[in-house]
This record gives sequence, structure tokens and C-alpha cells, in this order.
Amino acid sequence: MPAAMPRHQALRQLAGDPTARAALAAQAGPAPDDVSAWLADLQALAGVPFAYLVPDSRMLPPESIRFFAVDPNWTAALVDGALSIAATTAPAAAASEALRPGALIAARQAAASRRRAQAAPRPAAAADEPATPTDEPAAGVTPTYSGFLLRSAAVADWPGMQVNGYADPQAATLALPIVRLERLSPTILLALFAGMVQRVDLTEPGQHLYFGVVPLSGGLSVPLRSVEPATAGAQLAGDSTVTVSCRPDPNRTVLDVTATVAAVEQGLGVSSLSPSGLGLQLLQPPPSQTFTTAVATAPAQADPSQATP
Amino acid sequence: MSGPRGDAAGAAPDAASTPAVSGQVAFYDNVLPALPAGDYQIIVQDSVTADQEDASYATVQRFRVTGPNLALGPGDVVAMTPPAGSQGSYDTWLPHVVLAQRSLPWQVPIGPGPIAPGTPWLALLLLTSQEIDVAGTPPAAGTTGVQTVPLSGLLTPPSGTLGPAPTTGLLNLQAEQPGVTCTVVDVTFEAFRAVAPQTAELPFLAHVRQVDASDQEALQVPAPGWYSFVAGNRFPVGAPDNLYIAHLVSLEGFAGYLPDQPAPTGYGLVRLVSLASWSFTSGPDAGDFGYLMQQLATGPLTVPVTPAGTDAASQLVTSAVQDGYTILGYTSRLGEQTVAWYRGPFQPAPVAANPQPPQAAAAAALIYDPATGMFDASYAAGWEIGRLLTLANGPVAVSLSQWVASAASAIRLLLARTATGEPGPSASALAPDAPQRAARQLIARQVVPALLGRDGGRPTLGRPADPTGLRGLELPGLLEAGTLRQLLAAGGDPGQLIHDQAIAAARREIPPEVSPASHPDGA
Repeated sequence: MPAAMPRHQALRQLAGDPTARAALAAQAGPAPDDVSAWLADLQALAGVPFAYLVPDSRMLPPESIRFFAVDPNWTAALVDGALSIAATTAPAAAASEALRPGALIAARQAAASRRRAQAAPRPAAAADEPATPTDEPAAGVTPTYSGFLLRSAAVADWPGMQVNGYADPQAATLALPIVRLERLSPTILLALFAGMVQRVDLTEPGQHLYFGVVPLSGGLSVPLRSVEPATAGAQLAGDSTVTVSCRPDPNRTVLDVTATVAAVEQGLGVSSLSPSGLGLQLLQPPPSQTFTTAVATAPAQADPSQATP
Repeated sequence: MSGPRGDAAGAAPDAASTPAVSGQVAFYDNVLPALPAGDYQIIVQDSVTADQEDASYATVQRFRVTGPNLALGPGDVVAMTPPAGSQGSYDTWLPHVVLAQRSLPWQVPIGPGPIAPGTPWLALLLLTSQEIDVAGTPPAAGTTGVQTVPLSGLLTPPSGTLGPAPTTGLLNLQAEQPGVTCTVVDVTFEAFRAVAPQTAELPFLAHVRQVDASDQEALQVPAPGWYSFVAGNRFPVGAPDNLYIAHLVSLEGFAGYLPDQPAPTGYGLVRLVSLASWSFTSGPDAGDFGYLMQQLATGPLTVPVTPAGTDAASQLVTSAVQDGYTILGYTSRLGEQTVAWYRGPFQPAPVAANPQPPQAAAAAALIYDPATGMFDASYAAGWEIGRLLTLANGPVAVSLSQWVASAASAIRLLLARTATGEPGPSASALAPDAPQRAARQLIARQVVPALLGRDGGRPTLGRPADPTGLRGLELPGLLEAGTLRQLLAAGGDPGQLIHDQAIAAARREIPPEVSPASHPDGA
């Protein structure tokens, strides 16, 4: 009769046996939805205190933007810490280890399906989404995320800033899906993209587009824009403008809405201008700023962790 | 932004039927509330005929629809532009507010008397500090000149101050909540008449916008992507101190006092309900969105420290700092106060994944850097915060523990089933027939040798005596030791053999007269 194998040795052998892992995973069933969603949140660093993300405030001074790549090893450690809470006994630790690859794949699928749900009303963006990640062994399981931190008064003053990230540094092509876009404090915005972001466009949000006029040879004017449904918003040929009238008050510059509406109606040749039609004329184009990321594509060098024996 | 999309129809849009298009803004003249403010009653009548008798029932439910006459909710104002407290060259801008409820500007009838539908009750008045009065003086620096007064102070203001004419909404409010207070601003009568929009101008200063909300940060608004917009009509030009104060005021009760109406005489001030107010400075320094974006400093996410020296230590620190490292205080497990390298998950350059077996403790993720004799606590800190965050999330912690526990119980089963003698645990122990197999192995490897003896030469079953007198009979259920050993060596099933023998013995013992072949009923 062969001697019984010591328990710890048996557990180790189990953890290394792919058949045993598969049998255990089948026994335990797929990862619960809330667990896979939570792990996906953790991989997007949701809930991680700000001091862990930016350990030194000098790294993110006021009025600055900082691009970064997410360290997959860091998020792997984060997920291991999360899974460790169930490893209360030796068999549970072995079980947790056996279930880890499945949990990571489920987390990745949860993140991808969340992005698809987000992008659903926009078929164009959905088409840009890379195909469902292939389930490679451990190495490919941690998703590739990158993003930026923006610390600016603009975050507080223009809530809902429009953020677009692209994998192409030259042009607005290869749009990357947004994993997370969140204000961490009144003036700090965090954006995470799935993939390596090379170019980011920040645009004043459409709901904040302000009303204004263009100063023109002593007076004020607005460019005429079409109010026909098919061509709405397009500037009229010849860049025609109309003069904006003000109330006859020397001390105050108050727009004479009635006279301005009449002038625009005459300029456009329409009988009655609607409030939204006047809005189109007074609208100023939204400022947009493009940033090309400083994140190099070469991996970091000389990092102390590689010196580990 | 490919250009604004106009919608001249002006009908109340339906969020479900008109999805936003990415990069476009849709404009609507207004969104009227589905149920205008007023008093309503629901009358339910039912008549029943049963057993030749008629009975009719009726009930009346009365309700009142009101708008936010005196104050807006905390999240109603999404943004105020130019931003509060900002400084910029806004001289060609009209100030505006963005509101979270798309029908908010049309929820209160302006009154008194009928007025065209689609006339907003909100107006954005841009004023200078000289045009606002707080008990005889201009507002103090940093304030917008608002005062809190009881409702009676608004409806019957001090003499010489013009208040709103009593409207149904205000009178209802006075009857229901006489003690309510409201925030008001006193504007000079001259400035009010000069700045307030005319009745026909009001609809042109408010509209509704619909944008695609999917590439914006999620805002807590009732209908994402839908906003109402109220603009002022005055350019911030000409104030001696460059300071401008914007008030979003309610015009409820002011329909008869707007600049296109005959001016009432004998008033020096106008008291208006101020729903939101802010101040900004318009001067030569630009401070708008585009300017802020241009002024942003770009750079790597590193600590901006450069050691002065050129020795090996300085070079090492320089390279570590460039890789995003910083040095933080670290208390070792022995209580020693020292420092450790740390860098967060956000790296200045991509880092290759370095797959590791799962780390069972934070200490397992500590990295020792022999070059500096310091620990790198980055991953250990990540491990620990992952554990703490998950422990703090009760439902997920329970769910995860149950999931792992179900696999752990399978492991325990597996260990128990294979402990009896297989060379090591294997997944086959979880198969459905595993218990039977394990029992057979147990019998074969332990019970049988124990009963028969190692050498097999001491058969013990039923041998020494025959107390039951069955010895001469064939005994179903018992196997000769030699048969059993042969069978087990060949991998056969002793249970099956016992079963077969029992059947054969039973057949032999059935008397001929009850055999099925000769039974009277036949087969």
C-alpha cells in the first residue's frame, strides 16, 4: 500500500494539474456576476485611493495633464489581494488559485460587455472596438489600459467635458473605447482607455456652447447659419454676416433681441425665426485641444523590480 | 463637431425617438411640461348593474402641479458660464446657465394674466455691482447681493421697492407655506428696465439642447444628454471695476413690469427672486476653456526631482524617478522605520506584464532591490488595497467567498477520496462513479489484505467453525479468498460477481412447480 501523500503536497499537485483545475472550475461554476464586475472595476482602479494612484502631489501640479500607461502587474497584485479574502484555509487557497484564470477572463468579458453596452447607440464607435480578446493564458488576461489625469480649473468649470482618445497620434482615427471617465476631485479628471492612447482631444461640451458675437469694424456681428433642417448649422455661402443691434443705452451693452431677430430673418430670407434658429446664429464654435501623449512605446528601463533575484 | 443640428419644429421632443448623434448638438425651441402648472382633479365614475339594481360610484382626487417657484434643486444648475469667480476676456460673450431639467424654464407660468405658451419664466440678468442694492449699499466684495426674506417680504416689499404682482402660484404658496423664506436680490429700477428682456424676447433667450452623453463624464442629471439653456442678453462690457454679477431670476408676477410694458412710477428698486447667482471678472486676461487647455502643462507622470550629482547613486535615483518611482516612508515588519520605493499603477511608460503565480500575501509581492538595499513596496501596496477594498465591499466579499468555498469543498472531497491510496489526487476523483471506485479500492487495498492477511494463506471467513450449519451450502455473498484476489488483480468488480452468483444460486433453488414455464397463468 503506497504511503498517503502529505496534504500540502497534494494541494500543490492539484493546483498544478490543469485537469484538476478544469474539474474544480466546473464544480464551482462560472464566476458570479458581481465578482466579475468587481474585478473589472478593480482593474480600472475604481475605488483605489488617490494617494495610491499619485503618491506625490508634485507629479500632478495644478493646470497640468499627465499621460500614463496602467501597469498590468500592479492590477494583478490588486486582484490577487481581492481574491485572497476567500483563501481562509489551505483548500480554499488552492481553490482560489485554481479559479483565478477563470475569474480574470470573466472580469475581462464584463469590462468588454460594459463597453459594448456603452457604445451600443453609436455603431461607428462599436466598429472601432477591437475584437473580443482571445483567451490567452495568464499573460494576455490582464487588459491593456492607458489614460490621462487632468488637473485644471476647466474640470470644475466645464463639467461634462468631451473626451476622445485615439491610438493614432497623427489623426482622429482608431478611436479607443473609454473604460473610465471620472472626476476624482472637483478639479481632477481621470480617463482610462482600452488600449494604448496616443492622442487625446478635449472639447468643450456641447451643452455649454456659449452665445456670443464677433466684433466687426466697431460694431458687433454674427455669421449667418442655415436653419433649414437638412443643412442646419452650415454657414451661408459667402460668409455673410449680419450686424447685431444693441439697445440705445450708452452705459450698458444690452442685446436688442427683437431687432437682431429681424435682421437675421432678413439676412436668411425666412419669415419667422424660431428661438432655436436664433441660437444657431449666436453659437460660438467649441474650443477643442489636441494632446499627443508623452507615453513612449518602449518599455520602461532600469526598473528596480527587474533586479529581483 | 460636425456642426449644430437645428430643429425648427419646436415641438416637445421625445427622448426615446430622437437619439443623440455623436458630435452633434440638437436644438429645440422649448420643452413644455407635460402637465402645465395648475389645479387638477381626477374624477372616476363607475356604474354597476347587478340583480336588477343599479349603483353608481364616483370619487374625485384633486392635485396641484407647481413649479419650483422660489428655489431650484441642488443639482438643477449644471454649469454657469463664464465660470463663477473666473477672470477672462468675455466681452463678446452672453452669459448663460445650463440646467439639468429640460422643461425647467417653462414650468412656471409667468403671469399675471395669460401669456403665450413657450414663454420662459427664467431670465438671466447680468448686472454690475452699482446696479444691485443691499440695504442701501452695493454688495460686499465676493458676494452677489442676495438677501433671504420671508415670502411676505417678497409679496409686500418695503415702500419704493417693486415686487412681483400676485399670481396664482405665489398666492397658493402663501396659503400653503406662509413661513417659507426665499432668496431675493434688489435691483435698481432703472437697471431692471434697461436690462430685463421684453416679453417677446424671452422665448429667444431659452432653448433646449440634446447632446450625445456617451463620451462625457457621467453627470447626475435626470435625462442624460438633455439640457435646457438660459442666456443673458447683456455683454460684460463697461463696468468700472470689471466685475459682473449674474442673477438667474424668476419673472413670475413681472409680466406687467417688463420693459415693453408701461413703467410703473414711484419705485427705486425691484425685488426679484434670485434662483442662482455668481460673479466673474471680464478684463483683458483670457480665461475661457480654450485658453485653459492651451496653458495646460504636459509632461510625464513623475516626481520633478533631478539629483544634482553625477555619481552612481544620483544616476540610479534619476533613472528610478524617470520610471515613476518615488520614495515613501516604510515601517518594516520588525518595526524598523525606513523608506521604500513606490510607484502607483499609472506608469510614465508602458510596463510589460510579468505573469506570476498568485501571491498569497502582501509580503509575497514585496520586491527587494539589492542595488539599493531597499524594498519596492509598489505591488505589495496594490495587493493590500485590493484586499481591503474587497473586504469593505460586503456583498462581493460574500459572493466571492461562497464561490471559492464551493471549489474548496470539491478539493476536500477530492483529497478524501484519493487519500486511500492513489499515488496522488487527481481530477478523476470528482467523477460521478468516484465513490464506488474509491470504495472498491479501499476494499482491495486495505480491507481484503487485513482480513485475508498479507500472505493470503490464512483464510479466515467462515473457516474455524460452522455455528450456523450453513457451511456445506453455497453461500451467496461470500467469495473465496483466491477468487477475490484474482478478480481484483484483473480489475473486476467483486460486487458484480457476488450479484451474479446470487442470481445463479437462486435459479437453482427455485422448485420446478413454480418455475415460470409451468405456471398456470403462463407467461
